Amino acid sequence: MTDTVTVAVPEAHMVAANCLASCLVGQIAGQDTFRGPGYTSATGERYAVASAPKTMWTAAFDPLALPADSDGSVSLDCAYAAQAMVAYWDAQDDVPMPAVGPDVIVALAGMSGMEALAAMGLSPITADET
Amino acid sequence: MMELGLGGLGIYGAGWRGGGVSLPASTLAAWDASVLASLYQDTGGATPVTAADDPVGLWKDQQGSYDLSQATIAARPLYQTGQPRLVFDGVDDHLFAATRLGLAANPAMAVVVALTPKVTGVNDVRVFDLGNSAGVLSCSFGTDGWAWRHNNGNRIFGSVTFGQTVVATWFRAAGSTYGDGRFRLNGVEQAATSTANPVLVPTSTAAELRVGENVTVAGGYTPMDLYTEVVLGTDSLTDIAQAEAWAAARAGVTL
Repeated sequence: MTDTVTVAVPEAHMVAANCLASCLVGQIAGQDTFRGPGYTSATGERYAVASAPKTMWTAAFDPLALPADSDGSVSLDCAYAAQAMVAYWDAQDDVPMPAVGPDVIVALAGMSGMEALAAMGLSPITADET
Repeated sequence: MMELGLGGLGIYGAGWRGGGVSLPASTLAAWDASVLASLYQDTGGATPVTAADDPVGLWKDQQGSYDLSQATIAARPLYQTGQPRLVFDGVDDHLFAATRLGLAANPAMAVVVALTPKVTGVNDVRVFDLGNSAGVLSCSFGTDGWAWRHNNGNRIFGSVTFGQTVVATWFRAAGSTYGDGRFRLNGVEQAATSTANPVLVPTSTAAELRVGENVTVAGGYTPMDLYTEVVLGTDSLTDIAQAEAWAAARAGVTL
């Protein structure tokens, strides 16, 4: 789907990214948005990835508010720390796509989740499950 | 022939259609994307799905007992029109129910699914996963092929044609081993190509049902379009064929 945004969060920033997600969806349940990490880059860095409706992430740069059901587990400081790391890119943009890295949260729009993962150079962390 | 959905079976009665094809009486659960009234954007069932690209937070079981849901907004599959279906993005989308569908660890069962498997580089992504950890009952596809998976053994069948809509059926007898697992594609039984730990038996009794997620593997999500998923409490070939015909009608597949 092209009206979704696929977001890759470095492992070290998952807590902050989940704070941001909670604010964007307006529910503390948003803290489960980034789990894992389930994906890895070619250089071995690990990322948690989520694919969400575009309308959710286009608001990522707006002023934030705590979720309506906030119980103290989400802070605006935490959410704003993640917001500062977001690099949002749409496939229609006439600028280079941002690269994943340890201190950037890359959000790609205009392509399917699987296409976005390939564009970011991320692959699932898989075990030899039987 | 008994036609479930007619009389006292909740929303299934209202949504039933299929040109005379019905589900067998052995049906334990049936999720059908062609019944719009069974789809909600939220887990509580307050906001119905009405249009393409709406997220699906709740998919009600047509039998009324085993609803699938997803609390995390970003992880909800999207509804699509045309041949109605749920699109799982393979990134994080999945559904869950805290149930075993009343099944024991090693039951007779069949899982009949109309789906379009999407391209994946992963050898094992799960269409249906019952239980947790070792000894689960999982229906899988991936670069290895179609497979029964148990997290400590497997039985693999022919390769997958990604992008092709099919009716896939995983089935097994009560008390059987991993080596006894069987699989049909569009109504035709497929030969196994390999088996790992064939003498083991499923042991998990966890009340956990997942669609689209392999919970034991990070990043283990399933890229697929899902039209319908039916679970039977039998390995009867007569019942399986009936459910396959029902599923095929919902995905536009000719058996």
